[in-house]
Order: sequence, then structure tokens, then C-alpha cells
Amino acid sequence: MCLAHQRDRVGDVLEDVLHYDRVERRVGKRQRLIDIPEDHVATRLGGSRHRVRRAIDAGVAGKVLGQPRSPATDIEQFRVGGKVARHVAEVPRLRVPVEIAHEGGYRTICPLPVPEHVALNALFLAPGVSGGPETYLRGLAPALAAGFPMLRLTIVTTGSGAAFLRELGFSDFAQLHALRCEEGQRARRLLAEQVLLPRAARSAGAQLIHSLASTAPRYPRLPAVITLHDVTFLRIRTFGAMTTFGMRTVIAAPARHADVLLSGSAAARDEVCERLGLDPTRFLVVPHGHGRTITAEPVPEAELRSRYRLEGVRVVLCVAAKRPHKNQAVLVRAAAQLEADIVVVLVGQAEPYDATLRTIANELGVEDRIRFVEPVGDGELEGLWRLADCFAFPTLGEGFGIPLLEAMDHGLAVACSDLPVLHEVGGDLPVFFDPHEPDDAARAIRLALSDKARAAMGPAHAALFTWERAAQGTYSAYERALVAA
Amino acid sequence: MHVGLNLIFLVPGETGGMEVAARETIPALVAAAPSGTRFTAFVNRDAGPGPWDELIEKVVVPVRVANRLEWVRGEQQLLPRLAMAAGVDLVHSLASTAPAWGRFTRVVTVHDLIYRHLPGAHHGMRSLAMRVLVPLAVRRSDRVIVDSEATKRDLVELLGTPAARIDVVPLGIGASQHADPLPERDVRARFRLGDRSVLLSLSAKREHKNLGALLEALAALRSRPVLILAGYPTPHERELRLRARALGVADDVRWPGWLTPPELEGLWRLTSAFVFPSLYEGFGLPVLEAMARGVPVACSNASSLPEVAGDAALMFDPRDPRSIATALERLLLGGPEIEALKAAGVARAALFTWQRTAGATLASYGRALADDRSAHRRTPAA
Repeated sequence: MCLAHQRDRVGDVLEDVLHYDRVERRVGKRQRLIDIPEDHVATRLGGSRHRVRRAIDAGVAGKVLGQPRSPATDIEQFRVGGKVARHVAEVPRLRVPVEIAHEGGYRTICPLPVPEHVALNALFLAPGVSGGPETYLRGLAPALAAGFPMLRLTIVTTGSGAAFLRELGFSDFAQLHALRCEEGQRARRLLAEQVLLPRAARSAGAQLIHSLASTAPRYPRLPAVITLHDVTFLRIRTFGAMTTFGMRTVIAAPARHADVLLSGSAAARDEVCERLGLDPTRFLVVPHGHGRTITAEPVPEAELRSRYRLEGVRVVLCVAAKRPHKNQAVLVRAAAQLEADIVVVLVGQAEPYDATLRTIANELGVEDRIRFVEPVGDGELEGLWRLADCFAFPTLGEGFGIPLLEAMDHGLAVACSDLPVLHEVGGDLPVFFDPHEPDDAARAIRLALSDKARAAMGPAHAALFTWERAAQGTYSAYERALVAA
Repeated sequence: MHVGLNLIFLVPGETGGMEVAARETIPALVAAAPSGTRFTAFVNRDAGPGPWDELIEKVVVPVRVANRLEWVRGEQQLLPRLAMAAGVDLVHSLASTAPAWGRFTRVVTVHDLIYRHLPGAHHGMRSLAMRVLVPLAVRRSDRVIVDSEATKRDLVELLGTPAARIDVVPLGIGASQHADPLPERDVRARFRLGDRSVLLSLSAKREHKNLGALLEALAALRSRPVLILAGYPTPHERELRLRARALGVADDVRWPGWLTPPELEGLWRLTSAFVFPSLYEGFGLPVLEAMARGVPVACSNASSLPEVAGDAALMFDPRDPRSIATALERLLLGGPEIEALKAAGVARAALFTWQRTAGATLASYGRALADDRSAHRRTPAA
């Protein structure tokens, strides 16, 4: 059977799946079970329960939904790729939908083209500094490897990134491919991403390139999946004019040509679409998981309290790079209104905005109520999560907001900006405030500090967002990209 | 995972709040559990119908719970055997007492430690049993679930339970089924309300519910509303009635005893405010019930109530009648501040869902299984 035909068939089924109500669920590592309404399935052809069972045993067809009611007649016929498969052994090679009659209707068991080797574009990686996308990589890649053992991963990254990932044990499940560039070396990075990455991916034998942090090669020469986190930098000035223009270019053009776009939230997708003029239907929204699996031992509370002069105070924690759109300024201003035993701890990479924050603190005379903490090791960060009394997240724009879930997972009540994306991720659990109003932020922080019930509800909410699920969603994006390409 | 639910405490119509929690939690647990989770309920002979009949498997422990000794024997001796025979991995006891042994992981929900705070709350055998059985259950369980941070604090301080072994799992509120309310005219006639404004309080007439202070506060109000003290009568009610007479507010208080659901729903519709002066609560569901219906709430700032009410109620010091009176005056006066409070209340109540309770309970099971070192011993080496 020729490849073109195979694709058409898969395409047809996908067409159905996308346009009609259906029940869909993954039944194995490589298969999904798709129920298509009866009238969309045309023919009944000969087959036997036994053969389907063998197909299942061969690891092709997966399990049939529910318990067969009458074992003898339940699954009467099946067909593969439009014709009867004489030998079920053909099925793995064909990789086309299998239709089976079941419980009076038809079900299609549809093995899509199987993603077997994906190159992950992690050229953004500057260990410890790259924030959200780094968390994304560290959550998603191991979950993909664990959930889909047949999927080979090649991670293309910076020199320091490769060393860092090797240290984290990523080489156990992925091939690490370092390109000679670092985040910050703009020309080299551009060259690496635009030219060397597609070449490396092809020569490694990857079927598609998944770019994890919005920027991607314009001519990938392979099917392309891009995760577009957010385009907040277009709304709130984060970079210089040239950088902004450049960023826009390296994000918008590849996105227009990518096969599948991923986004962590519907809110971020809508903003990206509006700003870059993209079609929302090209997106899959795949919520991220929460947090990293903590391997480091948390630094003891007493040690941290003495290190950061936090003895006998209540701690409001904020974990975010010090950038204008993270808007820590409102917390500094709110600190002036909070009770004297409340200290705001700002953890995150110090960028130029850090100086602005210090100036504001000095003007208001609240320097001693704020602690500026540079990016810290995993153990120290974990220790800070554990000793904090509440979490504050005054951001002005976010693609997803993983820190929100990390806080909830640590049993902290959250006070955060009243943004659609944070409503989407946090549900009704956070105390929302207007990020431009210090008074409102102070009110929200006070409530979050005292609201033990919200805090107690956090872990169960955060548990709804797992990297396992994110990996499943991402994998289906790969399948879709292979079909679309 | 095979979970056994210890529901041996159930007596139709007697166990009140704990039964409500069990009825609401079980369907939510079944819905939220990952596939492959099995639930088996262990009930006594007298248990009435409930979700344990339809949704999950049921094992009857052959005891009658009305007899305290039989109940203890059932829970301590028969239940562990039946649970082991059924092959459960974990037994979750939903009402403060739990089997002390058995080859399964043990989780217990403790709703409150009221017997420690207020020795008069239970009597005789019951009180003695609670004093022995609750600490035993807590000590012998791998994890303890409580409804509020306040109860967690109590467990740590009074029983010396390590905080790391306790999970706080707030309850939900059953907004699903409200009865049809009785029409306002009928309610006003039935409780002789005339056209006065109405203040509602729902609580058993027990000392720790602090209704005496509420009566004093009522006496201090300049324009008095009618106060409805609903809740089943107890010996303490006589004292309260005498107090009301002494304070000169006897005409302003109604004592309707047990209310039918339509009556109660009718009262919720016409009441101007809800007041809850309790000195001790494990959780405080009535506060959320009021909030869910858009009734503004004034409540005590004691034990678990601040965490349940959050920013959506006026808090007062329950030991100070003047503080109660000030809160009531503000509520009855109305205005934009009180409208905002009502809206905050509706949002607050919406936070507390049984789905969340179930999710957190399942997470607690997971931790219990992970913590239970004996479970590893039980598992044959792979």
C-alpha cells in the first residue's frame, strides 16, 4: 500500500474526528481509540473476533472500549485500510485505521502515523535563567520519554544547556546535541536555530522539529510543531526596539508556516493569534503540568530564615524573573501597606528592572520589607516554597503560569493578577487583584495569608495539571503534524 | 487500588453532619478516582439506603450500631477481618474512630475534637469511648484527614500528632438539591414574624454554640429584628429561654425546633442576615449554606470559622456581646458594603465543592500508601 493512500485514509478519519462528536481515548502507548458515529462508517466486511484479538495482542489495535456483551458475535468484522486484512500481521506495517463492529455499532481503532523520532529545539536554554520555557522542557521531555518509550528524542540545545541537561540525567532518555552557541550571542543563536538546527535534526533522523520556546527555524525542512508561549513582549516593552522587531520576525514567520501550533492556554492562544494574525484553529491547547519533580533536598527552614533575615515574619513569595511584565513593582508598593511582620521575597533573575524595583523600595522606605533573591538552586527554591505563607503573582502577561500551580501544589494560597489566563489555570482558587492597584494587591495578599481553606484546596487543583497529560497532548500534536505535513 | 470505606457509624437520621459528608463525598470520590480504583463500603445492619448501595460494593458488618459496645466490637474486631478478606489496600474511616489494626493502610477523617474542648458535649459511655477511640484511631492511622487548619492545630497540640501526617481537606457544600421553599406569607404566619426583619441562626442548642451571648447582643440592639433559633431542642434550651426572658427579648426570639426543608428554604429566602456565634466548630457548613444563598453572614472568629468564611463574612469576638451587636447592626443596616459581602459570599461558597473534597481525599490516600512502610513489607518482593 502506497504512502499517499495511507495518508489519505488517515486524513479522512481525522477529518471525521475533527468534525463530529466523538469519544476518543488513548488505549495504549501508540494507539488511540476513536468512536465515530455509526453513520460515518460505511461498510462491514468479514473478519473475526479472534483476528481482532490477535491484532490487539500484536499491539496494534489496542483494547476495545468496554466489555463485549456477547463474546461470540460481538466483534464480527473488521477491515484494515479499506480492505480485509488477510493476515493481522499486516496491520503493524499498514498503520491505518481498523474498523471493528462492536456492540451493534462500529468503532474505528485508528493508529495514526506514529511519531518515532522528534527533535526538540531547546536553543533557548540558559540554565537557571531561562525561566518558564526551561520548566517546560524539564517537565515535558521526561514525561514524553516515560509515556512513549518508542519515541526517540533528540534535544538540540546550547553548549551550556547540554552540559546542564546531562547533569540532570536527560542523556538517559534522549540524545543531546549541542550547537556552538549560547543564549545572548545573538548572531550565533540565529545561525544555529535557522540553519544548523534543521540540518542537525535531519541528520539525526528526526521526523519533525518541535520548538519549545516560540522561536523556530523559518525553513525547518521537516514537519514543524511550535509551542508559542506568549507574546507579552509585544504588548509590554521588555526588550529594545530592535530586539522586539527581531523577536517578532523569528516568531511570526515560522509560526505562519508551522504544521501545528501549541499553546498552554486558550487565553494565550487568543492573544497570540490576535497579535500575530494567526488562525486559532491551527492551535492545539495543551495545558502544562505543574512544577518539576524535585530531586534536590530542600534547604532547612532555619538556615534560609537566617540567610535572608526572615526570622519571625510571614513570607509573601514571588517567583518570577525581574522583568517589567512580571510587575513586581506593585508588590513593592503593596508592601508599604502591609503589616510590619510581612516580608515580600522576590526570587528571580535580576535584569535591569531589578534596579527599578530597588529604587521604588527606597523611595517608599520599605527596603527592609523586601528581599531580593537571585536565582537559587533547586534545593533552596524548594526550601523557600516550604517556608512561605502565601504566593503573590502580579504578572501582566503569561502564557500559562506554572508558578501558580507550583504554589498551589505546595499548599500555598495564591494572590494573583486578574488575567484571563490565570483564571483559566487557577480556576476560582486564587485571590485575584488588579495588577495596577497596590491597594487591591495588599487586600488580596492579606486574604491569601489568612485563607487556609484556599491553601488546603490547592494541591488537588494543581494535581489536575500533570506533565503526563501534557505529554499526551503534545504527542497527539506530533501525530497531527505528521498527517498535516 | 482497592479502598474500603468504614461507614459503620451510620445510623439513619442520627449522625447528622458526618452522614451528609459521607453521602456527598462517596459519589464524588467514585467520579474522581482513577480507573482501576475499587471502593467497598462497610456498613452496619441498620444503615439506611445511600450511595453505598448503588455506586459501590457493600459489605455488611453484622452489628447494630445502637449498642455502643457492639459498635466498637464491629469496628475493632470484625471490620479488619472483613476488610482483609475483601482484599482492600486501604481503609478510610469517615467519622473520627477507626480500626486500630489490620493488614491494610489506614486513613481516618477526624471532624473535630469537641470532646476535648467541651467535656459536656457527649455523655457517659459515649464521652469515654471518644476519649479512648479517637486518639487511638489517630495514632494507629497512617494519615489523618481533618476539615480545617483549626482542627489540625488541635490534633497537633492536644494529641501530639505530627503535623506532617495530617491533611487538611475542606468539605464541600451540597448546593445540588434545594427543597422548594414555602411561600413567604406562610413562613411569616407560621413563625409569627409579622412584617419584621428576620435574623436566622442554625445550630444545636448546646453550650459551645454560644447562643446566650447572641441573646445578649440582641438585647443590645436598638431596633430589634426577630431572631429565629432553629435546631433541635436540648436540655440547654430551657436555660436559654430563661435567659431570653430575663433580658426582655423573649418576644423577639422564635424557637422552631427541627425545621422541614421547605420551611428552612423559605426562611433562607426572607432572612436579612445569618448569624453564627459558635465557640468551637470543626468546619462550619451552615456559614457556607447561608453564603451560597446570598444571605449576608456574621460569624464568630473562633476555631475554624475564619478559614471557612474568609473575607466574605463580618467577624466578631463571640465572647463579647457588644462586638456581636455591632456586626448585626451593620448587617441589618444594609448598603453597598453588605451587597458586596453577599456577592463575596456567593463566590466563597462556590469554592467549596465535593469534587475538591474528593480530589484532596484521593491525594491523601496516595500519600498514605506511600508512607505506610508496612505496606511495602506486605507486598511480596517483585
